[in-house]
Parts: sequence; structure tokens; C-alpha cells
Amino acid sequence: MSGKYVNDYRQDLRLFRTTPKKVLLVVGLLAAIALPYLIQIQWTPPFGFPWKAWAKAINLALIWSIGAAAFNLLLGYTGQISTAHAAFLILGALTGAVLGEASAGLGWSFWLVLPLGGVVGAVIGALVGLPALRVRGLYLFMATLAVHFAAILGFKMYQVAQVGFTGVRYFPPEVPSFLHWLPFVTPDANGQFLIQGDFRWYFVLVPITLGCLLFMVNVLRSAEGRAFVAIRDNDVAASLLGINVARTKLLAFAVSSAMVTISGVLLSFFVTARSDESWSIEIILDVAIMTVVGGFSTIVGGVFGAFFFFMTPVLFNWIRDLPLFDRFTFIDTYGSQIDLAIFGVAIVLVLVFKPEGLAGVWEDTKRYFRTWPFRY
Amino acid sequence: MPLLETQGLTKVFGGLHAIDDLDLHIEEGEIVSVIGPNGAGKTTFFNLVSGMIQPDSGKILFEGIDLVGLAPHQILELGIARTFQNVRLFQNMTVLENAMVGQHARTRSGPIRAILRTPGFRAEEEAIRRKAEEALAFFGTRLIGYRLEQPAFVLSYANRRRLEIARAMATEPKLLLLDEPTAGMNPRETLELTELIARLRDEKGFTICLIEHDMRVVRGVSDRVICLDYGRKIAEGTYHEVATNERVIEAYLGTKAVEGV
Repeated sequence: MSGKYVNDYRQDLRLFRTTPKKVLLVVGLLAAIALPYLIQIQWTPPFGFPWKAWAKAINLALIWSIGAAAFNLLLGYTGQISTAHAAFLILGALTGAVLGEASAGLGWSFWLVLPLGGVVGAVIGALVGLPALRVRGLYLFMATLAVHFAAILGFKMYQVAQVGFTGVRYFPPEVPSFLHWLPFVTPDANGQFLIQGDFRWYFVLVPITLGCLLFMVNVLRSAEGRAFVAIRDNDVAASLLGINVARTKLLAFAVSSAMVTISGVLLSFFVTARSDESWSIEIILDVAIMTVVGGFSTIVGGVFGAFFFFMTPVLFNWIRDLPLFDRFTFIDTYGSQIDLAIFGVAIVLVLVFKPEGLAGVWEDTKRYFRTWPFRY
Repeated sequence: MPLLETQGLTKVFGGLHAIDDLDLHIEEGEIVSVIGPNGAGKTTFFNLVSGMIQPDSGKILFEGIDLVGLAPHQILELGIARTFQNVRLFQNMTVLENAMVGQHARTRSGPIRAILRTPGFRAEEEAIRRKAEEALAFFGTRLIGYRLEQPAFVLSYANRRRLEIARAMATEPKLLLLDEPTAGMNPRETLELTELIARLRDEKGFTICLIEHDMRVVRGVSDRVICLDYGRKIAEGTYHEVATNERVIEAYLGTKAVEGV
């Protein structure tokens, strides 16, 4: 117990309840702002420890946090297993390519395309969720698998017809003009306010990711969120308690898909180029790794998982290049395979020792400090 | 007009008439017990009324509205809640959340209001919580206090049954269907629940229909007893009338092999 009592319902409904939590929030925000400046420092850390490399890893982790959390919302909370996850990343890339400032796009502003991606994702997501009304478990897994390949085909058809085999290029979006007055928003060498490079993208991605996560958290801590969990735990009882199971399942699919599609738009504009070969079925496994290692059935679990997934390879890369390993050439040759093996081991370790994942470790740490110096 | 009335209700599973041309009625404010040997169709009757399965023919009228063809959540909205013979709680949700789900049909929430967390939404969440706690408090201190935040799977068997009733109460029903509420309870818990069922009607104003095998409970609470056998109503009346009815005794114990033995 924190020693702080909740005296009315309104206090209980707050997300950041205690003063330490509020302090932590402010400190966290300050650290988040300081982080890219730290990474920009020009120096060579000892032992060739990676420094610049973190920037890209963190940005990718921010983008994939949304997707991993959305996957958790669908599988962890609602109990619906869907392999159409990557399909919505593709849908986001396609929305960006058709409407946004891309090779053959209509040239609409990124800031318009981003929420539109969410709308498109929600509508298509609800359609993809339709099989979930009839089948569940492994059968739903198979039914949604088809969507993945249909999406790849769709992207390929668009690409071949409009752009050619080189793939779609996405042009850097611009900071909206009403934000130009902000002190840290400065024009680049050409006098433009283009968002490119890891440093600038970071400040775009942090608020968008936080917004998306807050969106999902708010859905989950409402009656709709309770209905999601009710359906996962016992769908028969849920329907007999007045929950419209069909509507709720489709809502879960729509919310989750909207989020993934938004992350798909972000991803395309961040990496600036996408082709039909950018998407493999492994994406679903990647997201599953993030979800399991990060923590099942929590939104922060998705965030932890995404950061684990993108930051550990940077560390592995560094370790591989240490003089210590110079004699073992196979480590260099099979670098990425070794990474995958380590992920596999990590999953097994998490499942055996900490099924709640990194989110569970985080909870334990918080409890440790809250109850200090007592152990319980 | 009776609160619930069935007319010629029939449900056939393959060649088996689980419910066979059943006419019965439940008046508002009554406590009616449905008894009968195993396989008599008691739970099938509950499943039909709550919309889990659809009848092959006949009508189920609730306040004059035919329930046939309605989905379970629509029937609950009209005011019929039930519990299950094999407890069906939301195992991983807390006790409080289980009861809060009960309020689902009585509130309008909606995803947009939830995301924006409008003042109306917050007020509604508060009301949901208050009503859920109210329902849980009906069972004394067994389900409130520190238990509120416990996941349902840690509860004792008797407490799970209580929670299931509380969850059904939180849906603010007019008619409460209890499927073997005392199954698996010890004699003291059974006695306690018998009193609670009477209080449910007297204090909360629910009409109650229960399936029960424990005859002490049936005798203790019922205004009227209906006995089913092979999907048909074979007896109806006060506990005493039904308990001494020859057809009921025959259904439970069988006929004598030889006259006069």
C-alpha cells in the first residue's frame, strides 16, 4: 500500500493519482525531452559503445509501441487472435502512398493523412473482424492470415501500376505553420520546416505515440474495456449480462486496427521508402515477441516490448564488435540469426520466470520503492 | 398479466423433447422454484428464457413482449438476469469489475465519450461503481473491503456463487433466474443463502425463479413450486402440494414394481 487513501470515486478514476506519480511523470517528460539532445552529443564512448545508433532504434520503438499495444488490446484484452496485424501496417503505408506526399500520391498534408489512416483502419478493421463473430482461436488465426496476403497483393498492385518496381518514396512532412513560433522549431538550411532525421522525428513521434497509447488506455478503462475482458474470459456470460458480443468484438478490431494503421502511416514516412517486399509474415512474430516479452494484457507491456525489441539488437551489435569476439568469425556471419536465437531464449525465460513480462518487472520495481524499507 | 408466461414452449434436441409443450407463468413479486429429476429440462427452460437457445415452437412472453428471436443481451435489457449452474464469472477481472460489468446494459458510455473522458462519462463511471458496490454489499462483508480488488479466481466456491448473484443484481433486472444457487455449498451457507433469496425479493423487489435440488431451500423460500419431468409440467402448487403429489414422487423415485409391497 502506498499509505495514500482514496477517498472518493473521482480520485480513483485518475490515471496519475499520487504526488510521487505526478513527480515521476514530470521527470519522465523532462528526460524524454533531454534524450535526443544527449544522443546528439559528439563523442566516442569507451569500447566503441553505440551512441548515435540509439536514435533510430528509439524512434522505431516509439512507432512499434503503438502496434504492439494495439495487438495487446486485441489479443491480450479481448482474446481475439488476429494475424492481420501487418496488413494494417500495409494499409497505413498505402493510405500514405495514395493520399499523402509520396511518389504518386495526391499530396495531401501528412497531418491530414495520419488521422485519415486511423479512420480507414477502423473501417477495414471492423470488416476484417467479421469472421471473429463466427470463429475463434486458431480458426480466426487462419481466417485473418488471408488478409495479410491480400494486403501485400494490394500494395504490389498499386506500386506496379503507379510507381514501378522501385517502390514508393515518401517525402518528409512539414511542421504545420502555426507551430513555427515555438522556440525549438527552426528552419533547416533551405528555410523549410521539414521533418527528417532521427532528431526531428523523435519530437513528432513522442506526442503521437503518447496520444495513441492514452487513447487505448482510455478505451480500456471504460465500460467498453470491461466488455472486452468479459468477452475474453467468458463470452456466453458476457452476452447474458447485456454485452452485445458482436458489436464489442468489432469495436475491439476497429480500435486496434485504427492504431496499427496510424503506426503504418508513421512508419512509411519515417523510413521514407516502402515496397511490396518490405512486409513479411515475420512482422506478426515480431509483434508477438514484443507482446510476450513486454507483458501480456497491459498497454505499457507493448511499449516495454517494442523498446526491448529494437534496443537489444543495438547492444548485440556492439557486443559482437568487441575485440573479445574477433576470433569467432561465425558470430559476424550469423549476426542476425544469433539475435533471433537470443529473442527465442528471452521469450522462454520470460514465460518461465516472469509471465507478466517486463511490465511485471516494472510493477515489482514500483512496489519495491513504494513499500521500502519493508518487503511487503 | 403475469410477468413471464410461456405458451406451448417446445425445444427438441434430436429426438429428445427437452421442453415439451410447456405452459407456465410467473407473477410479479413471486418466488417460484422449478424442480425435477436430472434431465427434466429445468436448465433448458432457463436457457430458452435467457435467449441462449431458441425454441422450436411456442412463445415466451415477458411483460407481454415475445422473447423468441431476441439476442441474450436484448433480453437482459428488458430485465431478465440469470446465474449459471456451473459458475461463469470473469475469472481474471476483480470482484468489483465483475459487478461493474453487470451495469453494462444500464449505461450508454460509448467509445467516443470514453476516449474524451467527458464529465458525463466520469459521472457515469462513478454511478456504475456505486451501484456495483451496492450489489456486492448485499452479501455483507463477504465481497467488499479488500475483496473488491481481488481477482474472481481467488474466491472460494461459495463466494463465487455470491458474486454471480451480485453481478446479476447489478443488471437491475425485474426477473432473476437462479440456476442451483446453493449447489456445492455447505449446510450453513445454504441456510444463509436461503434467507438472502427471500431478502432479494422483499428488499430489492426482484421476482425470482430458481432451480433447486435442495428441498430445504425450496421449502424455505418458494411461494409456488413447479415440477418438470421429461420437459412437461407434472405438478404445480405450494411446496406441500407438490411434495405429496403422486406423480412427483413417481418421477423422483419410480413406480412400485409390485402392487402392495
